[in-house]
Amino acid sequence: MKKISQFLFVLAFVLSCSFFTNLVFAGEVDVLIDKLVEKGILTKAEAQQVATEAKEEARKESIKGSYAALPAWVQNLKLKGDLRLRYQWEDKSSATSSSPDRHRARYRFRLGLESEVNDQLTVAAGLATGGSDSRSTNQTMTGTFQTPDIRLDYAYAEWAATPWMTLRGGKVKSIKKEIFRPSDLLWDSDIHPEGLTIALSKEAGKANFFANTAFWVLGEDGDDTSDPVMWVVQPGFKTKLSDNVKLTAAVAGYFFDNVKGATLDQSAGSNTLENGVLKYNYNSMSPSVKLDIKQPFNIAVLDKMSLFGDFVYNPDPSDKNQGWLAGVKFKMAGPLKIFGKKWDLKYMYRHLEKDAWLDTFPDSDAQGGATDVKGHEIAVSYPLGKNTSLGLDYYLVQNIDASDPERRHVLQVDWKMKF
Amino acid sequence: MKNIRKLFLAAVLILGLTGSAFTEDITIKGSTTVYPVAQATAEKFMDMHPEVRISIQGGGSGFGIAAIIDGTTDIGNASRPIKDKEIKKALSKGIDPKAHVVALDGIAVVVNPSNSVSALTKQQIKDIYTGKTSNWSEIGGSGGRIVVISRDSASGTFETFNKLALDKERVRPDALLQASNQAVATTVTKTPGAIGYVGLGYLTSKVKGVDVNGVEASKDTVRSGEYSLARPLFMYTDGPAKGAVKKYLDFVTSSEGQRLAEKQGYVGLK
Repeated sequence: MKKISQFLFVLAFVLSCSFFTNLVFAGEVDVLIDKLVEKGILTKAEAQQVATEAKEEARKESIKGSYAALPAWVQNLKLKGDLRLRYQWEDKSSATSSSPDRHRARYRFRLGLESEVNDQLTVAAGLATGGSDSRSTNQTMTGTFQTPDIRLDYAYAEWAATPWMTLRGGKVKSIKKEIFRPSDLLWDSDIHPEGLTIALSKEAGKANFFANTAFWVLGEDGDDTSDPVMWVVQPGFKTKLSDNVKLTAAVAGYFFDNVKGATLDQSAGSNTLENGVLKYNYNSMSPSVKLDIKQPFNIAVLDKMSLFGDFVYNPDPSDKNQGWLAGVKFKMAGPLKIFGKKWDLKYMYRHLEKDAWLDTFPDSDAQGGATDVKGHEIAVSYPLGKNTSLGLDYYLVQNIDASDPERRHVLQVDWKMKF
Repeated sequence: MKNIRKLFLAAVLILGLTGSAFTEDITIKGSTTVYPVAQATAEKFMDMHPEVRISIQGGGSGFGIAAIIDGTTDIGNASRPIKDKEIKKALSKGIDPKAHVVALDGIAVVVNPSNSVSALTKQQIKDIYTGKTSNWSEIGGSGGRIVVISRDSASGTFETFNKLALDKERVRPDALLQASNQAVATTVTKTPGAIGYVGLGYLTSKVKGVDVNGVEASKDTVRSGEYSLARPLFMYTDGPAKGAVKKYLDFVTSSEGQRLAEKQGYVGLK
């Protein structure tokens, strides 16, 4: 109690001094504490503790004062965005046909706002370039300096109902936030689902158990009640196996209503149709796993290594109903640093059969987002500076079962900037 | 299929709801320097209070403070004070970061035990880390390339060393960056021409500590203020500590807690 009253006395003195100059404040506090040490009330180490805590508190109060001067709506508002400039080369060919190489200059601009309604409720919305394609916000440079569209990229409300349960409703910002997915085998990263998500999370010892559940709307027809919708349930966990090794694993169950016998917007046209509508259902199971290892094998050139994989199985069709992806990512360090900077190297192999998954969702850069695709992807990312990086992404993919399989090379060179 | 779906959903909800355990959980994240203090005191505290369960994670001071700001930890460990921009970010999220000094530490400059160099000035250390000096023969050693080991930028040890020893100048680009005090110590032990820096608690017979400006890095010189590369170690909470977290922090700064901190090689407050 004696120490507390000493601390409160010093703190009160410090705070009152902080209304004057920092010079006076620092000097006077030190003199006061020195006196307490001289009198044997405080040891030198205790004096350091009291002085440091008091100065930290005073610094915080000073910043708090200047921060509080801002209007409440400014305090609660966050504005962020990014710009990506891209060069893209594509080459498509098959045994019987070939297309001329395609070169495209493209850009993507996104701007987002986030505001806290109250301690538990957040509202966010974002705008982006691109058309109505759910899997791309790129704008190709064309049309003799045309003025391109800006569209609503996302708009959602997030309610942190309890420390272990969060609800999000609307058009959410990122599929990555909704479900654990180490690759884009099943979900293009530009997809922003619409509906309701409930995310549960609970720490237990060294592990964090989570369960992502979602109800997403795929279509609405005013003339009938058989609107296509989907449900997602994904229990999983992440845990530290040691100081340097982290494991994340989950199994997703995807359940669709009114998809079999229908057609969906945004289809890449690779699923099996019967009489012009989808022949199969796509209720699927999809396990995913990711292993992150810091400083693997204690070799100087590797700062971090990640091994990851996705698998999907659709029991409705009797064949062409599986897909998988295996990948590895390295953060290169030590002698392999370029101009003193660490950089990322990623390799993935994918194999997604024709009816393993709906052709409305996979990565649009791999065979135009279609299923019935296998092949390689290699990506490099190099930080140019704070919030800016250079990326290279190369795909070599082809059809698995098509009668005249198409082989496609895609190279993307990206300059990314965040603000 | 509909029944299976309902069953699956019910199972997941039950999994989430049953997470509300009867024990009190404390999560601690952050500085690898503060980690040994947290671990030693947490073990003893849990022995004394079986109803409290404490989980501790490293990751660096930046990670610990970010976890406090994000509300994903009860205590954020840091071996440096919180930055102004971190305070602003915390305030924007309604977090009120409160510093608790839990021990003092010195940053020991270490070399391989085979190295003949046993003392350096702050200027010599700065010249080595900023790239002006690259061979041990330039500073009285027996020759050979200096292998510079530093910490990654999330590390509070790096930030303190950068401020106190390098006057905030950039570390040479060929420095080998390590993610923890232990990794620095291990690399210096295995590399004859290496120089690194670690918290006092990681100073063992496997590395050789060098005097800085003629002062040995020790508990006495840190406590007295003679050793220049010294710093307080922090545990941050959101506002004044309450409940089990307060009980734990009171224990850390008690005589028993400080004895445990000293046992880990740090300088106690009592």
